[in-house]
Amino acid sequence: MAPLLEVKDLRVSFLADAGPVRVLNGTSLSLGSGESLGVVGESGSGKTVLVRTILGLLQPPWQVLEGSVIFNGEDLLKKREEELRHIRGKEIAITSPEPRKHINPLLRVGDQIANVLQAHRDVPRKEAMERAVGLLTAVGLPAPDQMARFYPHELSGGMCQRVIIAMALAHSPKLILADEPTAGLDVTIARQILDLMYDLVRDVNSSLILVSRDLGVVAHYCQRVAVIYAGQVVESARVADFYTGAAHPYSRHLLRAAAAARDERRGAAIRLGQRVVFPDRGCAFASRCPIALPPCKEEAPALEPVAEDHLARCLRRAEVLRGETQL
Amino acid sequence: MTTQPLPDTRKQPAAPTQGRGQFGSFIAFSRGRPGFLFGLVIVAITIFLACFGAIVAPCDPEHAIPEAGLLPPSPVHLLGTDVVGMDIFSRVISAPRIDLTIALVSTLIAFVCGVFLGVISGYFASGRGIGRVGSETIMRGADIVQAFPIFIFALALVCFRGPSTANVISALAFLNIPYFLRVTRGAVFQVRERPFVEAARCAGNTERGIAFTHVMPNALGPALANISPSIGFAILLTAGLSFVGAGVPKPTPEWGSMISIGAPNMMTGQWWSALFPGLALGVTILGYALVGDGILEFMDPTRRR
Amino acid sequence: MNGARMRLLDVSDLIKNFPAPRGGLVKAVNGVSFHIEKGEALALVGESGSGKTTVGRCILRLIEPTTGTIVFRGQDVSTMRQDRLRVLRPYMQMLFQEPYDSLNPRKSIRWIVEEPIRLGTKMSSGRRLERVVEVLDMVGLGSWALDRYPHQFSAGEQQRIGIARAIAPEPELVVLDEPTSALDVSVRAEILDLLADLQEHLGCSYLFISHDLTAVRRVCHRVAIMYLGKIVETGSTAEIFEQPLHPYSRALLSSVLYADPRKELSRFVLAGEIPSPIDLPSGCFLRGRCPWAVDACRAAYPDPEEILPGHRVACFRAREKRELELVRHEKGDSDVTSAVGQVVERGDE
Repeated sequence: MAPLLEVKDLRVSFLADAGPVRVLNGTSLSLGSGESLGVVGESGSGKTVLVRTILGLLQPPWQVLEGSVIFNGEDLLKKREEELRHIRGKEIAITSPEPRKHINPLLRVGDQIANVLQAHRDVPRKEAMERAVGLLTAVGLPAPDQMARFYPHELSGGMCQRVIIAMALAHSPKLILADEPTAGLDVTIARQILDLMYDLVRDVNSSLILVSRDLGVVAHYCQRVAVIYAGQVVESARVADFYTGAAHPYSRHLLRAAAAARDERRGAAIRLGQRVVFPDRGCAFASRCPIALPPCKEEAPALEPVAEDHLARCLRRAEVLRGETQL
Repeated sequence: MTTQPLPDTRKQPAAPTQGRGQFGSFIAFSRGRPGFLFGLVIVAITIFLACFGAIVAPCDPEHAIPEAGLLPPSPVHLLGTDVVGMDIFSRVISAPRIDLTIALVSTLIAFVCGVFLGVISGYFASGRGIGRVGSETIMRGADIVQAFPIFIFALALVCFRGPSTANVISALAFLNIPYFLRVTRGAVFQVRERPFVEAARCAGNTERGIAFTHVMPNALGPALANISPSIGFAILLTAGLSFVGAGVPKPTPEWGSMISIGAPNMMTGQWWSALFPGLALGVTILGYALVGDGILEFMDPTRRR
Repeated sequence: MNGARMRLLDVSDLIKNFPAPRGGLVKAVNGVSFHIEKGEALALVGESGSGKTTVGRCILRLIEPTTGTIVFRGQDVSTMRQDRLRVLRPYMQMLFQEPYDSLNPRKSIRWIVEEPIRLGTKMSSGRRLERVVEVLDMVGLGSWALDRYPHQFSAGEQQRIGIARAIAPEPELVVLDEPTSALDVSVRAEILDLLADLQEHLGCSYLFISHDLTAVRRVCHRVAIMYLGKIVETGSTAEIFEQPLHPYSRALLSSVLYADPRKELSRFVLAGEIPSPIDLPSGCFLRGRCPWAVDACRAAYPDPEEILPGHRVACFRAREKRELELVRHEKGDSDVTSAVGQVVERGDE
């Protein structure tokens, strides 16, 4: 079955005063219908840019240099703004890591959801408002008919995020892009939001791309995982396979760090040093990689299979997977 | 197949990257902004003329030849002569000396006083006691100064103490203090909320120490960006004062007084004696304003990275 | 051996109220009492609105407490005058949450790290420089960093600089305000290791404020959990993880998502939102969200009860629930509501 979304070799850069800065350097991934993919990377890896590129939300000085984003068989990057507007909010929806910034502070919450409903469907206002209240119930907000009349500043961060989720799900989109949905939320609230999203996405049978810095979130709420480093996907696998045996040194480092940060025992972390660079030749991770060899600096590895349904961008991926290196 | 940990190449004595990095990025910044470059050129020209204008002038700017009055532009007198026969070109390029001196000195005084008062009124604004009282007093004083129509105020000040360069400088300095005060105060409000200020308290600083060692240097940005347009505005004000005769004494070349002298002649058709100083004034102020805008944009951290 | 004299810090009934923007009071801290011994690391854990950050700042007098006593090194600092307080500053330092913003961007690293000892001790300039280099080495940087500026370092390194500055005056207490929350996961473990090593090596006490219960695990000996301005449970780190007795503690632990899909997610999740500190519920603050709530919970706020030695809990039903679990455990029943923590092996450290 053809994938619902296929991102091929995306290259995006940012035009700063000193010259263009590469942010996405050949990112590729694919997602099937009803699948959930976790995109993991640290700050600056390009994950938010990836999500915004998919929706065509980039403006100059950002520019897409190369690549395609095939959704439902069509390349979104080649579409005009008019056509994209029909897709946004209806076929593809997005949530934000800063819910307060992406909600209109001047409109009541119910009105905003009703606006989203009316943007893509010809319904009378009254019906749109009723459906809005229904959505507020679905996202677990108490007293939804009263809640609809609230302004965003009267809600907590977690509640704003629920409202954004309600807006995202208003048209039962085929794809939801959840960009760090629990950033800045308290842990007990975050847990509620994640459970909620998981159930709702399943009910509507959407596909989900969940962008996060937290490997724990991806472990429990996604079926597949893609790791981004320096604007490229360096590993892509099923969650079960990834967490028992990752095939890229950077992934192993992230997993160790995540475990170490939660663990009682000390000394489990690997200190990387240096910073992220975009070298002209060779693997982008080589300058920080504890097991890098001379060929790593000459030849940039491609994203290749290392096991069934498991890709990695590393010359030594087979050894890393089998646990034969120090990692 | 052993690997070695990669050496940390940053464990070396620090290269002087700080200054070079900023200058380099300034060059890159300017390259893409023609308006800013234009402003820089204007500023450079005015500074040059302020230093050397009177020297490179073809004629003595204060030498009057009544018989040669109101001659149109010609190869001898590039921009013509005014009503008493002084060469307009020489006067136009000599004027920056006095204009710029007045503008720079008054702006500098206003900057220093305004920033100081801005830091005090901003940092000690909240809370109880002397700090609060002092801050409120400063702000009300600024309100009063700003409530006066600028021109009337300058005129009154100068007429009260007589027209002279020093009085013009004092009047302008006094009038400009509130602007520097307010922008600095605004910056101080933001800076004092930042964690490093709390850290300074933990380190054992007195509040005064924090205000001037930590907060002030980080709150100078808007005030510095305000210098350039202030200079332009000061030149304009000087010209205005001279226009009504309350500024620089008559024979001294100054754009405003030149316009004042030449204005009546425009109606009789001798357009050159007022137009050229007017153009010079306008272009100069534009240049300084553009530079001010550019500096403000350059220092804006959201523009970078 | 007077037990009280071993206490470095003794906080009693600390209350802090802020005026709310539209009138009323934000009751940030509602009567908090705890103590820290010399050389001990205590964690203060809670979510937003718990008041943990406010407690930290009150102790250092960066915020003025409303009422309560704070006894540090035998002196009551809660109302001490600022000039007398300044003498104590070298002994009580703070590490901030924001690695970059807690450093003055216009000053060199040398200046930044030197400041507390320049102001707080009588060391000569030469001796100060030695000390700065010494602490930079201790945090894993070196003399090469002296003449550089904060923006030239990564977030992890900036935080190390902050640590160097905090330990330079040889403090007895360091308040750590969410020191790793702003850092990427890959850097967190390093910094936590560093903090733990330093604490052992230098013998200072920590007050580690965090919203992440697992972050404190490798650094702290004891944990106090806060909810809406009150401490709901205190105990040793091991016990809190293995046997959390308060329902809020259990919920916190079960919200942790370990990076291992095989670990089952606990179903002990609290319903609803955190109430506003302006409008606190009557009785126990958790009752609106707590699966164990009964009528008694509405009537009064539970007093802390010492259920196990050194383990205090403020919940009417904690003892009852625990006894129920002990009985079930003996009978061989697996308990769905037990915490996610595993038996911790005390390894070689």
